[in-house]
Amino acid sequence: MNGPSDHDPQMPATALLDDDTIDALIEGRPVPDEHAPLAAFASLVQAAGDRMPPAPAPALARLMHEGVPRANGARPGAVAGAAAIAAGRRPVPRRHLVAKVAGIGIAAKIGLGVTAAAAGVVGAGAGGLLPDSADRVVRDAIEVVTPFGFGDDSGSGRGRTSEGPDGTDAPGTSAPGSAGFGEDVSSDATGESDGEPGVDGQDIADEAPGATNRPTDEPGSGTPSDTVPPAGDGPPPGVPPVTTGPPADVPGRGAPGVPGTVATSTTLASSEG
Amino acid sequence: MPGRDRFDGDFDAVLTAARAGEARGIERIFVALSPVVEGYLRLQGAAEPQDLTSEVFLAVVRNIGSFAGDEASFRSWVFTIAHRRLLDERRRATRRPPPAPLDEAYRHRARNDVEQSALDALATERVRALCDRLGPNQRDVLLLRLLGRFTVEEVADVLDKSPGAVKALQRRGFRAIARLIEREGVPL
Repeated sequence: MNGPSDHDPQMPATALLDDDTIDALIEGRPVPDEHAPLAAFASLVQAAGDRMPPAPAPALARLMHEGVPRANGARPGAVAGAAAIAAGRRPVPRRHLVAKVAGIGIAAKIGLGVTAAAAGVVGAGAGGLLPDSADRVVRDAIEVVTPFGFGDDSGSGRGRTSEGPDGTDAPGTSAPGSAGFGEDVSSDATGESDGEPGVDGQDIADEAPGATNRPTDEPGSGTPSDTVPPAGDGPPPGVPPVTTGPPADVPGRGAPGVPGTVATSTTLASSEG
Repeated sequence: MPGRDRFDGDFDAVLTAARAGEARGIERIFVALSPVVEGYLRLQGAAEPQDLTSEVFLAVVRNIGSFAGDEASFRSWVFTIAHRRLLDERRRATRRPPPAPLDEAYRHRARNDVEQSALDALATERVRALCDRLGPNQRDVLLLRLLGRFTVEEVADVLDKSPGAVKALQRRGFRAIARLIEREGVPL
């Protein structure tokens, strides 16, 4: 059977469709019940155009990212990175990511796979999801390939700890639960050196991070614990200290009499105190 | 008419940017109009509707300097390019396969379209199979009216026909669809 032509002689005369009904079908307005199938058809046709934009061909994608190159090679109004996303471009489909992975070298793929697998296994191990035997294997593997060590949950001393040159545990590196933990207590803590047990955070070594930012213990400047965090809570060496003021390139609250300076946590505390 | 303003009232700025070759303008045009263009090409039975859509918009970018008009005129212009590309593709094809029986067509799924859900693909295929049973002129008119949301006059402009002819074609097209649904029990 051939499909109906534009001038189908078998067209039933009773299937009358006036212009108003056709307009209603096209505009999605209600139609008489006898035309409900046509309304469903119209709705499905229109849905075919309400989807996400298709993936553009590479040449077109380049134009959409970089613009049309000018005679001098410059591209006007190039859209890149976050700006492109802000401009409303749809997210990169997952198949593009797959394609990118497919395009990298075999060594990189292997590395990527190993890393992904390791991340999954480490996550499962850390979450306590693996059986004991598997968990132990995972721990051993992690200890071999990373600088991290695990203590032994049973306290049998199986956990690996960093060792000093003489084979003893290096200070501060014993994992909780390992043998010998807590056996060595400094003389300062026991009070043997100065007659007062413990330090209670009042004395901070000059070598501790942030020493240059600490105020002197002058009357009215507040106790050190008000303005300086304990040394143990400070950032590690090499990490800039966090201040409460705005970034240096943003006009902020200046110190009194010094326009444009940014108050640090110390200056804020002292000026408001 | 709903679905006609696809630039959120920002068409003039988008057109200016695109004519200057700016990426942002080109992208906005593609995001705004490519879904309907691709839907039109897909329901027209284009072999590779996604690739053909990119060809259409590359042609749009190449020729946008010659365009002048408002958003409605621009949409007509873009669909004119799309329709001509479709005809070119059909001419290039050595032999277009005859329309498949509906039952077989239902089993066919959209290929290479991982983003589309299976139900969407099935619905699209059903609609495409129905459209495939129409005469070519009826199909052109119905798809431009329904997908492009064009007026009768705009469709007449795209297809280079008179408005009267377009009205007659759309009436016959809708009646043919109704008869197919009724006679063959096409589920929608």
